[in-house]
Amino acid sequence: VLNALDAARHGAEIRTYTEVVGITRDSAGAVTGARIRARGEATVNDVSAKVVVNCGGPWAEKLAGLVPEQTGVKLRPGKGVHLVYEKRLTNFAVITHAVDGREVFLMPYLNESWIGTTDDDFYGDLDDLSATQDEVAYLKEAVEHVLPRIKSQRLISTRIGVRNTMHGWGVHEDELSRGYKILDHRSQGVSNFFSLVGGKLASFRIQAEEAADAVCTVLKIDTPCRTHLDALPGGDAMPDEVELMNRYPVSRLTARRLIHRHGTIAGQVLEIGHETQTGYAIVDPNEPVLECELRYSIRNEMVHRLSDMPMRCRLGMGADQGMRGGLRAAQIFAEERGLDVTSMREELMGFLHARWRAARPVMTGQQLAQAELLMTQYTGLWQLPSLVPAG
Amino acid sequence: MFDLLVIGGGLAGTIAALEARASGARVALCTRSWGATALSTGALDVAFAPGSEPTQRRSIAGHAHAIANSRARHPYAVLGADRALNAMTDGLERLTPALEAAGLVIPPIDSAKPNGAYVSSLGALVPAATSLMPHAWPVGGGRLGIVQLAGDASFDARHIAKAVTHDARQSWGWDLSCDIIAVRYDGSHGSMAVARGLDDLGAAERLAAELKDRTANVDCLVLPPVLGLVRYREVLAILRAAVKVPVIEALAHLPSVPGVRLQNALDRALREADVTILGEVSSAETHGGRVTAVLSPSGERLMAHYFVLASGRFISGGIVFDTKVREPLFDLPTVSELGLIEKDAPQGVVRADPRESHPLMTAGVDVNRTLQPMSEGRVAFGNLFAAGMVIGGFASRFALCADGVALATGVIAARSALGATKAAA
Repeated sequence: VLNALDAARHGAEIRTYTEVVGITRDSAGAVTGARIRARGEATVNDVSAKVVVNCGGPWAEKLAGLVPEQTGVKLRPGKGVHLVYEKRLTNFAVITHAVDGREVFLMPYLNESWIGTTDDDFYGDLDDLSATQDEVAYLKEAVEHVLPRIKSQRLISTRIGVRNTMHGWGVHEDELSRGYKILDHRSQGVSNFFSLVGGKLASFRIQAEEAADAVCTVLKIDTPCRTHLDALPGGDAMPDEVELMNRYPVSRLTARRLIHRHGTIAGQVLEIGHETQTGYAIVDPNEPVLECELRYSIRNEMVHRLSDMPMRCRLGMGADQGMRGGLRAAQIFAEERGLDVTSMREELMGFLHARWRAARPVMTGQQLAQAELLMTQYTGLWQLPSLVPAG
Repeated sequence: MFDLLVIGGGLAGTIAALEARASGARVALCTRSWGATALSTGALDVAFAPGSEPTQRRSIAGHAHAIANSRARHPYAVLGADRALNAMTDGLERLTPALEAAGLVIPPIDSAKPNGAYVSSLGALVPAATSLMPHAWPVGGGRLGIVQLAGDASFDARHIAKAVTHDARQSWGWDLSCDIIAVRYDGSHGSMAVARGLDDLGAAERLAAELKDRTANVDCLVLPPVLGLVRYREVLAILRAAVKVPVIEALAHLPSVPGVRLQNALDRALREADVTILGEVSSAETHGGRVTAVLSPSGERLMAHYFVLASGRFISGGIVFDTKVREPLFDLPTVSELGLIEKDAPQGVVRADPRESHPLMTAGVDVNRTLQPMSEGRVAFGNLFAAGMVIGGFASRFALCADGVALATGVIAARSALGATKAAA
């Protein structure tokens, strides 16, 4: 989110929920732009550009396929699953091995603990990822082998990703190169088109710098890179949590968490609290997430759907998976966006759906009781005719 | 040695205990903590089968029959819808004295009538058969005054007004309009805290003064469900004396003040009926196809001629899912509305969209017409019966039936056991 906001601050136009469905070319075969379609709409618009860069990650191969003559973008997607425990069980990362000898980590992350990960060739639908029974059992077995008491801890959710690993034949997933390439498709007769293939999240900035250098060569731009020097939005200084706590009616923990997420912008976020009588009310006690933070995010952080909110402020990421915060968050979203009742309910359901999908593979034990509690909480809404699924 | 021992102190267990006491049996009830009953919204759900319009005009009995006809494992199908409806009426009757003593009333379920429309704090107009009065009343058309306590984020009157107006038109076919009545409030926030705060009747007087001259344009006032946790009788009386229109509470979401009132009233009903109230049961002893005793965690043996299992579903731990879905006390096989549950992972029994019907959410023990849990096609234990959500084969949210099932199965489980007692004697 911060990178996107920074890019926008520097003049980039960010369009989320928008799919590239074609690459436009001139008669010489050079790329002249892209054809895009906003999600949920039928119309396709053309956007012209001097250069098109394919940073599709796991979808890079599919995107490159929009230019049939190109070769070189070939991936071997690798699915990776993490399981999330509701507590920060350890301040240290614990490295252990699974039954097949692969390394598995138990890592602290904010106020959770994660175990992972797997690495399996993935041929399925990138838009429909879910942890399988195998993957859950494999990871649990690995960590329970060295920490048997972890069985009594509560798994609340899963995180799934697919690596955009460069293709290699006849090699085990773990042995594949984690390197990256920046392909200039001019060598295939398609000029003004680049693809970024492979790589890891850890090296995103340098990959982006090199890709930008390649593009700037074509555009004849010679300005030096600054992304390794300049702070991301809010990162220019470290605010004082006590000072914030004294200036606004928030707890010290709240101030600290806001600073963690927004840095120097935390003050702007908190100012919004003055607008309403409940501006400093806690919506989701998990983080805690305040009403003013939701409003700030909706106004400034490219929020399209309520289900975008967990990515902004961790709404619904706690053990209750949105049970407590969902309703109020939906009301605030509806106010900010002028939604009618039906749309507001759809947004709430979309939010709960996203959390439910991630929680479902580990919905046993206490977390199943929590899921039943969530069902109970929203009983009055589930049965509404507009929301009952057909069949 | 008791005649009947009930495991579970929610609505189903309490009704079973009271039914048994009414015929003179010596009854014990074992409870370890509050379960789903204490989360009750303030309304009682008997039968509402969503589907074709205009569902809201169908009678409660009509809904019960529709449910029985479409879901073969639902208790209304297993017991017979009319038998279940009759039993519910008897069950509520048993509760009446204790409820009245607690200043509460649950009007009888008139199954020839349609469900009433209730304002819910979730922001919806929802159907229910009856409710915990004098607080939760159904609404008709007209003009509602929805009260906004200043700074209360858990009850947003504007959203509720919009939703209720919308649902009245869409689902019920009425015109309902709402005014927002904003009042000052400087106490703690959160429904439990507000309710406790209003137990201080001075705070209730101040609220009444705020509302006093604000009701000229409305037909009734709708407040959040916070009008006293313990002294709710007095709080409501104070408000009603000050305003000229009916004062009602919206149905609650979680945490639920009405749920606490109901649970407290049930606890009181048990004490007043001389039911022996005991603590947690953690295992059972069986012999020769009968339950001989249940054991407390310290190993104390509790013996009875007959037992009713009313331990609830996942929330209260009556059904658990660790390595498999199981009933932990008697190790009874579990069923969903699709049949025996044999899966050992959620993926097979939980759907991807929370709105869908999840087999896992219908998990519980399999019962016959006399509510005896079954195992491998036979009655599991000759002297064991089941009531409430521990029974599998249904999910209350698709048929809004949790309280109806609790009442009907509580009564019938007790009667089946006592009938067996009489037969044996």
